[in-house]
Amino acid sequence: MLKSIPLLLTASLLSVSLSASASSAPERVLLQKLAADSITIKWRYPANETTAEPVCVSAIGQVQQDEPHCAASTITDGGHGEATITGLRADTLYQYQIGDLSDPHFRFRTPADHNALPADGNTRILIVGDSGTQSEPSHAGEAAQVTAGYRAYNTRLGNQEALDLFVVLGDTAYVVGTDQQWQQAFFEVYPDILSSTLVLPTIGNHEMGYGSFPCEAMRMCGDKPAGTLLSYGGLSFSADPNSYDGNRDGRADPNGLPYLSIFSLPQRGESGGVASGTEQYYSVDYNNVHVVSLDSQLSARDPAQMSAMRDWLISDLSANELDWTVVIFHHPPYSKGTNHDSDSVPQRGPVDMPQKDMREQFTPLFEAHGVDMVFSGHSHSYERSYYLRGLSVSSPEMAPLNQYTELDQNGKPDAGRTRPYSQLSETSGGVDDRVIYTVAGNGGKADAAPGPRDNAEQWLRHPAHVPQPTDQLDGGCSSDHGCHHGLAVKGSVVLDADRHSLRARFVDVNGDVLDEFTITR
Amino acid sequence: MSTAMCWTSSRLRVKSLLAICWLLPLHNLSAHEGIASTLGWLDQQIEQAPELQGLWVRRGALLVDDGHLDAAQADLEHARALGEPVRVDCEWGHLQYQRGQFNIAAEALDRYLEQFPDDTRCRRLRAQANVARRHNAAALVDLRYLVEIDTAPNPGLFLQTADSVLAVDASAIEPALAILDDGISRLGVTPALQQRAIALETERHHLDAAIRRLKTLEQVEHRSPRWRLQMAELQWRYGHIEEARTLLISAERDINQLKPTPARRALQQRIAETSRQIAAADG
Repeated sequence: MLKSIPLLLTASLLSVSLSASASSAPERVLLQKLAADSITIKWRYPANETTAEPVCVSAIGQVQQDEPHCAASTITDGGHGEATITGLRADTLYQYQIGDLSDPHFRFRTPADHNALPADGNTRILIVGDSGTQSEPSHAGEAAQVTAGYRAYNTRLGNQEALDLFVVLGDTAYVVGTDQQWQQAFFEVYPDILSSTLVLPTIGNHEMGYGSFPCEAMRMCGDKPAGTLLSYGGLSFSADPNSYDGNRDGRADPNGLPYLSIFSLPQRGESGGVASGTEQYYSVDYNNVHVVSLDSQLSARDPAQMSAMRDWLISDLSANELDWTVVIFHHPPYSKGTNHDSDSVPQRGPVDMPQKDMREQFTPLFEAHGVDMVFSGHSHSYERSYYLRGLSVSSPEMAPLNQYTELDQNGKPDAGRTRPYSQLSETSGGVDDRVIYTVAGNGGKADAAPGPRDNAEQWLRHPAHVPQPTDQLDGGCSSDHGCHHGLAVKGSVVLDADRHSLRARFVDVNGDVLDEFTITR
Repeated sequence: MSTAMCWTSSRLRVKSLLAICWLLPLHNLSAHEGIASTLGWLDQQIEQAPELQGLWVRRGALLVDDGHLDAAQADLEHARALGEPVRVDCEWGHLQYQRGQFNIAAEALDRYLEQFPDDTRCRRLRAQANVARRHNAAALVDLRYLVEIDTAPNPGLFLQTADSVLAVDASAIEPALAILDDGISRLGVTPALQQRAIALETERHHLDAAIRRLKTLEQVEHRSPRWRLQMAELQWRYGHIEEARTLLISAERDINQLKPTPARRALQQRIAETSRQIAAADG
């Protein structure tokens, strides 16, 4: 099958067989706004050597006789070369060249036309959350383990399915999302994926800079003058991307939020969704899957911005006619993960406030507009909900679980293991109004125990999430009874969408499937 | 658990220069433990260096964020005595805003911004305080400033500014539309801004302008059944009954082909209701 682009997990992809005019290989190559007829390609060489070079794209395979499509490039924010090529064919395999730089692995497949299936009939999506740990020495190598797990899984299945979309759920560059941390934790971990697959990101709290304190307060000035600042990340409560403090001086970085420089996201509807007017949230049509990326880190913290995001979401979902709808954002509305208990947001302050706000303000919209699955990170574990409707309160305020879930043949909440969920179930009243929520913030590290302020008995036991029989904590569990409602291991979520089913699997670092669920239509 | 700690001179604006990072096993600094651990850490620092005004201000600010307003007030009052009082005024303003003391909040923020006019966070706070105390003209000055300097503003900022224009003068629809059109010009045609403009055009009975604006969303919203219903409603009000009927028939036909959702069910009811109203009005 032409579609197959082997998933190579070496970091050497960008450094082999190059005949570049520049003196070295690019340190990053990224595909953006990949649509049926166009693509944006971004790249950057080290040491500010990036120059504006033409980019050419050639179809390979059956339409090889086509003339190459070429476009001039410009140097954009962050020193990236960037070119947009138009006039492409749908569902076609292309190779590309940046200036004189060519490589057999610089290739991508355009998606099929609106709501059509690709030639192989399936859209494969790889989802990782909180994966940016390569820039944390204590977790070096762990994100690569997760990708290796996916590779092992795919190998067992004969490598028959190529990757179509790569989704990252925020906290993709610890600790504060500097450009250097993005380089280390993202571009150097996934070079092969990023140069051949469209990546769809969302903003996490660790993309939003430092808080700062004077060094004299910590007796750590050394020979530095008083006023030198000690800083740490992940606790920004700002709604303003311009407030990003990336150089740790306690003031806004004049270069702004690196996330917004690195990615070129479709704010004007270029990828099929409705124009949002901001790169902080956007949507994409890809084959027969509609993916919405919301901004739970910034926009959700300001009433006017959140209102604008809600209005846009309603317009976007109202215009969406694709078979499947997937929503991503960083802060999970339901979680009992370490240090991120969605029930104790008021006690924990603004870091986790978006968990509550997303649950109360947005989950009703997902249900009203036929969203199928929602994926978040933030908690470094795996949790997956029942097929839910109407749950916008904290778990102590919940009515009996049966009132929110699809029920199995025994009248109990259906965990979706013995049969798939159905968009229009027997009990839904003929409308698609249920959603599965997955927390997958374990793409770069996994928390193995509750935090000091967590209720240990409730840890990984949110009632909206299904018990996990593969739970190995405390010696494992023999049945759903007693099992944690989550898994404290690293891994990724693999999503396959065809015309009639949307199938999700949680795959650990060994390539083993530890949870699986499907929605049919 | 460890957290990366870095420092750099506050005088340096260039990333990575002279930045020194290392790892410290500071369990209580883990970002994932949220604000409470930060407060715990600040407690320790204040114990070690109680003379530092910045620490008291920082703890007071976090306490405001966390809703512990009495404790925050105690910290900020103490901080005021340790250095230049004006350095406390931004957080003092935030505290008073949270208490509902909007006049005191705005006065404190005025003092702060007189000395630190580039602080956009405090400027946003002052705009909120002035909106809350209905000093809308003052709020509008700050919001216009933020719109002006922001190179990648969020649509929400334009909406808030347009609202403030109208709060100052409910009849000032034209200036409010100018703000929204500025946003559309800078961000592209987006429903959040254009729909607000359509609502304003409708309010002042400029239905032709509302229709023109809605037409700019036709492709943006993929001519969805929801868009067609809205256009039908406007066309009907404008007297274009046949256009309205055609749109409603088309919207109803297409929505019946789509996956049923609660939102589409509600839309179907609205389409049916509008069709009935048109039929009744048409005799």
